[in-house]
Amino acid sequence: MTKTYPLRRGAAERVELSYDKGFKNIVLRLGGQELATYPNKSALKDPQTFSLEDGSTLQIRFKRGLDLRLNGHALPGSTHDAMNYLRNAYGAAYAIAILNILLGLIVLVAAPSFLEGFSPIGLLIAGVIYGALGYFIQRQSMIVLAVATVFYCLDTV
Amino acid sequence: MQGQGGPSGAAIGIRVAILVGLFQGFGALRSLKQERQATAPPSPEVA
Repeated sequence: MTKTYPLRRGAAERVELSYDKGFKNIVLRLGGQELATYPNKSALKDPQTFSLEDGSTLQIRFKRGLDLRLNGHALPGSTHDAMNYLRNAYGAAYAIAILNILLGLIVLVAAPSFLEGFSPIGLLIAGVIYGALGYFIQRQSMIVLAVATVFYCLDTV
Repeated sequence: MQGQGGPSGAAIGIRVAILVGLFQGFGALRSLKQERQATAPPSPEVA
C-alpha cells in the first residue's frame, strides 16, 4: 500500500509512505528519494526525525496510526491531520441537524405516541440552526463552535 | 431535545460522541491557526 501526503497544504512536494499489510516493510520517501525504511510499526514506537534542506523537521512515528508531522504539525491527509478532527466537529453539528429535522418530520407527519410532547416546529428550527452552525464550523469559526457546544450542552441537559 | 423518561444507553452514547466531536474541533481550530501562522509568508517590512 502506498500513500502520499503533501508536506504543507497546497504544496507540490510530497511525502510518500509505502508499507505491506500490518504496517510491515515501511518505506518513507520525500520527493521520490528514500529517506528511511522500517521493518514494522514497532520500529516507529519512538519518533524518528529528519532535518530537511529548508531547515524544517519531518517526524514519523506510530501512535494511533502512522503519525507524520512537519515542524510538529500533522501532514495534510495524515491520521492526525487537524482537518480530520475539525470534520468530526462539523460532522457532529450536521448529525444533530439531520436528527432534529428527521424527528421533526416524523412528528409532523406521523405523530407517533413515543414522540408525544415533542414540538415538530421546534425540532425543525433546531435542525436548521445546527445545520447553519455546522456550516460555519466547517468554515473554521471558533466562536460558532463555542456557541454550538454551549447550545448542545444546554439542549441535552 | 427533551424525551420522556430516562435516556437509553445508546442515546447517552450518541450524546457523548457528539460532545467529543464538538470538543475535538477546538483543538483542530487551534492547530490549524498555528499551522497557518507557521506557513504564512513574512510580511514585508515597512520603510
